[in-house]
Amino acid sequence: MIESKQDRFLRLYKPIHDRFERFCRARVYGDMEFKDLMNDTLLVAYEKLDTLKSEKAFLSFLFSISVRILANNHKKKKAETFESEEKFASFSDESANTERDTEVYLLHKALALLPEDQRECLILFEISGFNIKEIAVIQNASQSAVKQRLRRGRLKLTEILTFESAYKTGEVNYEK
Amino acid sequence: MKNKEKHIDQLFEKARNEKPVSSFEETSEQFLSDLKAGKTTPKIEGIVKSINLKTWIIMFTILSAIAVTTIISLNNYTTSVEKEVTTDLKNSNTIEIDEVTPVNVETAIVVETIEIKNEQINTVTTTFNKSTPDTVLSTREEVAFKESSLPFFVKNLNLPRKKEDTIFRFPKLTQEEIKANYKQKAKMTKQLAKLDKKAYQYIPSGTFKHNESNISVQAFYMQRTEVTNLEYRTFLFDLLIQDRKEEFIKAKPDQKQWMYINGIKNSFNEPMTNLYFSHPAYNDYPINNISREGAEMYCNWLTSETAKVKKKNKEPLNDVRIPSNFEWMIAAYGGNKQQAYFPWGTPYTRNQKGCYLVNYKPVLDSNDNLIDSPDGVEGVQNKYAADGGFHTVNVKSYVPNPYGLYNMSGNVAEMVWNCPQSEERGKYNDLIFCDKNDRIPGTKGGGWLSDYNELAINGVDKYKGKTDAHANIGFRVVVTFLIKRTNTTGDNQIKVTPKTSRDDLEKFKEKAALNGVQLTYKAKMFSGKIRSLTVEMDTDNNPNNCGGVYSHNAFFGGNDNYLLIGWKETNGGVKLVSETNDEIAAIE
Repeated sequence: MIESKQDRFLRLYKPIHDRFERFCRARVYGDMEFKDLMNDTLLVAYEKLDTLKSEKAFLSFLFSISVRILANNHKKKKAETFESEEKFASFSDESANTERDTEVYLLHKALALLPEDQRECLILFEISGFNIKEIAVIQNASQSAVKQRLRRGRLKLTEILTFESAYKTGEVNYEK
Repeated sequence: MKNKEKHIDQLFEKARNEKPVSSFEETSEQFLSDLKAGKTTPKIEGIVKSINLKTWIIMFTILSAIAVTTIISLNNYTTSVEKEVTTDLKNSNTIEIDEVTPVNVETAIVVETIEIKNEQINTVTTTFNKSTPDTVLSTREEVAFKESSLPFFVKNLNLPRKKEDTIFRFPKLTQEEIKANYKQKAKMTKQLAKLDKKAYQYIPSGTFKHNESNISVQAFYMQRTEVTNLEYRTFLFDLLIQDRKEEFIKAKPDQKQWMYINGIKNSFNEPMTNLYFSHPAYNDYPINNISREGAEMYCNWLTSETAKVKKKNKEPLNDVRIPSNFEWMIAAYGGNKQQAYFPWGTPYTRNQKGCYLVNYKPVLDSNDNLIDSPDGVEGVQNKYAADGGFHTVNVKSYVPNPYGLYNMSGNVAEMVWNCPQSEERGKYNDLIFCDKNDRIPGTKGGGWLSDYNELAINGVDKYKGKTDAHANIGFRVVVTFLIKRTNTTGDNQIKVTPKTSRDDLEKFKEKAALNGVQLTYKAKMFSGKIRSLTVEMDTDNNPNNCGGVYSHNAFFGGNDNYLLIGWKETNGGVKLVSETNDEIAAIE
C-alpha cells in the first residue's frame, strides 16, 4: 500500500515528538504559546517535506524550520498588548502545570532571561541533545560562534540561578 | 563553582527527561485539523537564511559608525554646567565667587527644583542661609540629559499612544534593568527589615489633645520621606518581572492627571506627563498621580518582599501600611508638647529671614507680600515657584521636623485613614481598633498645590474621601512596632489582651528565657478570658542587674484593654518595658 504524504510525515514525526515538544516549551517560555510554535513548524515542514533529502535528517530539518520561524517572529515582535481588562485577565501560561517539576519550570524561566541566541543554543545542546556541528547548521552559524554562545549562556545562567535562589531563600549577604 | 555547575547539569538532566505536556496524539490531531482547515503556513523570510553571520557583523559595524558620527555631530549637550553665584537680595549685587563654598546643612536650607527648557532638563539647587538676612547662598544649575538620550525603559514607560488607541503596552525590561531593579529592591527591603534609621524614624507612643479629646497613639515607625518615584517604580517593575501584569495595570500612576489638575486642562504641564515618573532626575521626588489602591498595593508588596528576605531569628515585622490621621499628626508634632501649628514649630510658612520652609502655593499681592488668607483679597497671584519649587521638590528638601521627618507639610498631600469611631470615642489606639469598612480615606499636610490652611497639622483636608489619582497626592508608609529596635534577638514583646491564651504566655516565657529574661506571671481568669494579670520579670547575665524584678498588674475591664510587656537592651543591660492603653507605664 502506498503511504500517503500525511502518513509518512507522521511516521517520521512520532519518534521525535517528545524531544521537539521539550524544545518548543523551553524555547518560547514567556514569549508565546509553545503549541503555536509546534503547529506552525509542523505545517511548514509538511509543506516542504519533498525537499527532505534523507529521512535520517528529519530531526534537524524540523528544528531548523522551528528556529527560522522564531527568528521571523522575533523580527516582527511588538511589545505585548492587551485590548481590555477582560482579555488581560484571561492571559495565562498554558505550559504551567502544577504537576511539572518546579525546578524545570525555574530553569525555563531563567533561560528566558538569556539573550535569544544563547538561550536557543543551550536548549538545543543541553535539552534537545544536538552536538555543536548540528547546532551550527540549525542556527546557520559557525561552530566557534556556537561554542561561544554555549559558554556565555551557561555562565549567565549560573549567575541568574544562583542569584535567584539565594535571593529567595534570604541567603544573600548584604553586609559590606 | 563546581557545585553550581553540577546543579545546572542536574537541572538540564531533569529538563531532558521531563514528560511532555502535549502528547503526540494531541499534536497530530491539531496538525491534521489545521491541514484540513487549509491553515496557511507562516512565511519564513529568505533574508534570514541567506545572510550569514559575517555579513551581519559587517553591516552592523558600518551602521554603528554612521550612527556614532551622526550623534557626535548633532549632539551638543553637556553633562554639567555649574554657576555659583552669591546674591544679596537687598542690594541686588551679583558677586561671582571662584570656588564653591561648602554648604553646612545645619545652617542652610536647600531646595532643589527641576526646570524643563528646550528639551533639556535643568536641576536648580538653591541654598538659603539661615543666619544671613534675605540671602541666597548659592544657586547651581545643572544641565542634565536631553530627552532624546533617555534610557530605553524610561522612553518606553510612557509609550506614545495614538488618539484612538486604547491598548496599553507594557514596558520591556532589559537584563541590566532587571538586575538594577533587583538591587534597588534589595536595598529597600534591607532598610525595612532593619528599620534603618536613615529611612525610618521611631515615633514613640504618646497622647495629644485633639478637638477637646485626648488621643493616644501607640508607637510605630514612619518613613522619613514621602515614597519616591524610584521606590514606586521599583515596585512596578518588580510586578512586571514577576509577571503580575494585572496588578501593574492597577498600580501604575496616571500621568495624564498632570494635564487635568482639578478638572482644568493644563497644557503647560505636558512635559511632566512623560518625564516626571520616568526620568532619573526625578528619582528622589515624591510619587503622585497614583490611586489609593496603588499605594496599598505598594505597602503589601514591600511587606511581602521584605518577609522573604528577613532573617528567621529576627522578630517578625508588622505590615507596612498607610498611616492613620492620628499617627500622622503625632509624628508631625515631633514630640512638641505645645502642638505647634506646623511641623516646623511656627505658624508661618517662612522663617524670620524670609526663607520658605515648605513647598505649597504661596499667594502674593502686588507688592510681593505673602498673603496667608487670600479669600476676598484683590490683586493677589499664585506664585508656585516662590518657595523654590514650581511643582514638587526633592523629598529631602527644607528642614525636617524634630523627629527628622521631611515635608510632613507641603510637597504632596499624604494619604491617611480617618477612623470615625476613634473620634467619637475620644480615644484612639491605632487602626487595629478601627473597622476596615468604617475608615475613611483622607490626606494630611497639603502639597505643592495647596493653600496655607491645608498645611497645618490639624488643617483642612480638601481630598477627604478621594481614592483616585491626583497630582497633589502622595504618601509615606508606617510600620507598627511597639518597642524601639534594639539588638535583641527573638520576639521581645507580647501584647496581652483578655483573649490571650495560657499557651501564648508560655511560649513568650520560653522566648524570654532564651534572652536571659526570667518571666513569671499570675493570671486570673473569668469565663475563659484574662481578667487580671501580674507579670514579674528578672534578668540574668546582667552585671548591673538593671532589669531587676519588675511587676506589673493589669486589669482588663473591657475587651479593648491590653498590656504590652517586653524587654529592651540599654547601656546598663536589659530593661523591661510595658505599657497599656490605659496608661503609659514604659520603664526607661
